[in-house]
Amino acid sequence: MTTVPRAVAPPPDNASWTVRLRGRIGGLVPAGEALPDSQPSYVSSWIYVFGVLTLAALTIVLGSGIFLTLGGSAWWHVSSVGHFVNSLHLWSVELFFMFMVIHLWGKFWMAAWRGRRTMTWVTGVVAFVASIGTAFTGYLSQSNFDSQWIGAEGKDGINAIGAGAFFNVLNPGQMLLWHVVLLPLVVAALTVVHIVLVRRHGVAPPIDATGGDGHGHDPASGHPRRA
Amino acid sequence: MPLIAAFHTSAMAAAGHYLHWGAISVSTTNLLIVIAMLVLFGLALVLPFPGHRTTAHSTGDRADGCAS
Repeated sequence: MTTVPRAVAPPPDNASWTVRLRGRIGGLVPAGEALPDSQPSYVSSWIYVFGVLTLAALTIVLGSGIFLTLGGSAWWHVSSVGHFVNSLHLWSVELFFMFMVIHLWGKFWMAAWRGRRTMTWVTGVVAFVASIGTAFTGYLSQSNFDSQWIGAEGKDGINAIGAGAFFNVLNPGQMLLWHVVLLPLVVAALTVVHIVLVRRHGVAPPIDATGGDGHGHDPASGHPRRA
Repeated sequence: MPLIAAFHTSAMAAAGHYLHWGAISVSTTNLLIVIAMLVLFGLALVLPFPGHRTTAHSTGDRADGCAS
């Protein structure tokens, strides 16, 4: 079993909780890999860009969403700036999903769960599912005829899976709070874990670059770049 | 304003165009978006990345195999 080289020395057993927490955080990613200034040569491909594009789109989604919460529906429905921010929120979500799905395609076809990256793959998949829920509650929170229609169409499906008792799509207040508090927290937390895992285990190499051994060997040096 | 009102009225009245293949039904807009994503995916695989001087995976930009 390989180990991840630590960024900081492990704390002694009798250290305070702050020292132990610092040591745990410092051991999350190998030394110098939290914000690396170089990548393996196989990363020089457009297919590796879509992960960070997804992250960039998510940043715009969250930023525009914060502005929408400040103004409220009476603002985003009637003012020109509100219309702009509302549109910015919508189209950044559209791009977020486009980039995320292309990122998913690329990682699926290169079997990116190889080399002890199972949890990286799993957190990405769960974040994708949570993002769908966040987008769904967003459509229900528009406070217009579209959101009413979606709620009316969706209620039977939600009830059919037994979730209607605590997830009522015809309750705009509940859907708005799921959309602006609960689900964004889930997506943000999963995104952070996903990125930490990517930095911890390194970017998944193409299958032909590793000879299919799945251990992330650097094709040029022949050594395992990371655990 | 009348132009904008007319646009909104026509946009809201438009039902959208759908394509059907048996059990599969998809709007033209969504189909075009899916096709655009597939094209983007294909281009990402074949287009050369700027600044990448090598042509094969087996050769790194630097002696340690890392691209800076």
